[in-house]
Amino acid sequence: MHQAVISLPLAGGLRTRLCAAGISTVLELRGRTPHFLAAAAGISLEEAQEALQAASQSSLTSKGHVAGAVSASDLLAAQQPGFLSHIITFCAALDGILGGGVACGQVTEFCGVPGVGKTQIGMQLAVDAQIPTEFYGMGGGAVYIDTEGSFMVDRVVDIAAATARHIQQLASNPAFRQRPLAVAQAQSFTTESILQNIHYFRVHSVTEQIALVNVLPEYFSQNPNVCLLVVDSITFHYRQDVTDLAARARQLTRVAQDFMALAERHNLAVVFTNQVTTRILENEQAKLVPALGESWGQAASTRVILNWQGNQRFAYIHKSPSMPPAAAPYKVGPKGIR
Amino acid sequence: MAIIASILGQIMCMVQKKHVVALPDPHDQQLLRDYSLENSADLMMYTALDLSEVMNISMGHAQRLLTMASASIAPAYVTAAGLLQRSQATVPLATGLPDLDLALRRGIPVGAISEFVGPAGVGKSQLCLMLTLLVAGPAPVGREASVVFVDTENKFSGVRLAEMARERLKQQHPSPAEEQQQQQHIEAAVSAMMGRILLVKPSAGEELIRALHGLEAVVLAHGVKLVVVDSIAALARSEMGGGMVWEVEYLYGWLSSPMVSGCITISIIIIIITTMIVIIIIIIIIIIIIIIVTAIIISSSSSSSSSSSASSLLTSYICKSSPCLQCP
Repeated sequence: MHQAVISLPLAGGLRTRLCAAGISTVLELRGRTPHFLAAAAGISLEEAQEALQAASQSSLTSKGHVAGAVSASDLLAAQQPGFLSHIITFCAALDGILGGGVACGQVTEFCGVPGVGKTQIGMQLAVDAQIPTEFYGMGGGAVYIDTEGSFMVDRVVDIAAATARHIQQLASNPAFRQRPLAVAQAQSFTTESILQNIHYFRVHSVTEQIALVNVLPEYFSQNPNVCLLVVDSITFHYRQDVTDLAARARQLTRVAQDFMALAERHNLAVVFTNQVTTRILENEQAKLVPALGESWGQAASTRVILNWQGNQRFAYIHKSPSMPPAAAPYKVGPKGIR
Repeated sequence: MAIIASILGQIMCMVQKKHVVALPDPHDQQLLRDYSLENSADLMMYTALDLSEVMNISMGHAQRLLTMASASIAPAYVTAAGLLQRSQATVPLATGLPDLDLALRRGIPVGAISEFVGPAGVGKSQLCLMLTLLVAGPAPVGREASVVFVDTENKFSGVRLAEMARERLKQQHPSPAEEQQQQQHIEAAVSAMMGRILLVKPSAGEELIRALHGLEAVVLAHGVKLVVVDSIAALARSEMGGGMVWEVEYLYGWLSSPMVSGCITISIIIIIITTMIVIIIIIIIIIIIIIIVTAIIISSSSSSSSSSSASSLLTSYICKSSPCLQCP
């Protein structure tokens, strides 16, 4: 119940001096004046003010409840029933096993061998995130962070054109024609508007990638209507720029936490694309496993493994908080993912 | 093994662009200088907590420092519409093979790495020569631009290239009259073309790395529009035995990241040749290469709806007789 002074987010030297002066709990700090503190601990006036400010903002309230906690029933009530917070992939089977599509507010990871369609799924999602709200889409912008240079604008143009055509055909249905808002939204959902709303970042090294993660909170506060963040692929630079595995593990954990916080705070759907690597098992057989190891497996709340079986592509739910493990076939065609 | 690891370690220091962080507040800048954290690559590896402990500052201060430093390093965004405009401004390299050009939409893309994979004798080196001709050749045949040819297997034949150039030029002007003048004209054009081709012949792993490292400067100095590496697997195979996959990965990754960033600014094309041999290590290498080769998108024809990978279509084009890895 008595929070210690060493747990405050102050400079190390300041904390040591406060403890040396005999002030070891936050309770002792509260109610003191800066002059008293400065004299007692032998610190400057600014440092004393900083310490008092940190003490007043400390998390434990007088009642002992942990600040920021919300009861589960409040959370359930907040999630309005019928509110679709998924971004579809346009493949009915894949959306089915995902529970409606890629969930907003969570991190989803797609792993697979090269050529199986990870970037295609990312591009399709970037277009689908913008489907207007009258047509049960999110109607928001998309951010695409490209680390490998695999983003092809020509392909996005194809996918956008096919999706826009689909929505405009829907709008001519009698059910939608009566709603003026639906008609207006369908008319403004064109290839040009879709391309304008995809923000593309190209990252060339692990330094730039980490820097971008640090500036993303400010970007999202300036662009509140963005609802999808695709990182393709999250692992590329970590696998070759960082050779110290311990530092890599720490960096990755931090990056994972940052993305999870972003997803929750701004109700984003965060999508990672991961590569696969080969693991040799004890019986000398090779097995393809997602790259970056076991600790990275904790980063995503939903993990989908993409693979080939014969001539058909399959998506397999490896890990999901709410959906059972299942497999779904999907195709990559001229119009996108179907 | 240790030697190669140490060489790669040295290269890594050279390769990491020494980007010095510039902060608006001079006190913060001095703080970074005192703890020798002005290099962006070093600074980004630290979390706010690390900085707070190391520099003896509060968490809030450390977070502000990191955010300001990141803002100066992080790239800015482009909308997809802007990307489309940029891509339409560049002209891909049409190979002259109608089916391949159709499959690649217009030709080999600019600003990306393209890879040709195939078994021995199928025609990869000849293809390299033809592409060199299409870029370095005189006006109706080629673009009259400089080419860098990195030749690790001694497959480059100047004689063959000159022969190809002469034949194509003759086809352009089939008139038999003034043959003497035409001959002189052709010879002048061919020798001008040879002058535009820069040939690099590394014989060992570290020479290749050094050659690749100096490539950016050469490309900028000579206005190079095409870089051909024939073949990238040759040196890797001879020097690196089993278990060295991560170092090979590093080579390809290094090749792709800064070079491709250079590509985008100066619009050049990189072509890599590898020979395909059914050895576990090489299969892994090829899997990694194909991760990098993502520049080519094929609009799926009705018959091959299951394949969207450029590499598989290229390999199926090239590997006519032998069964290939990626053929669907």
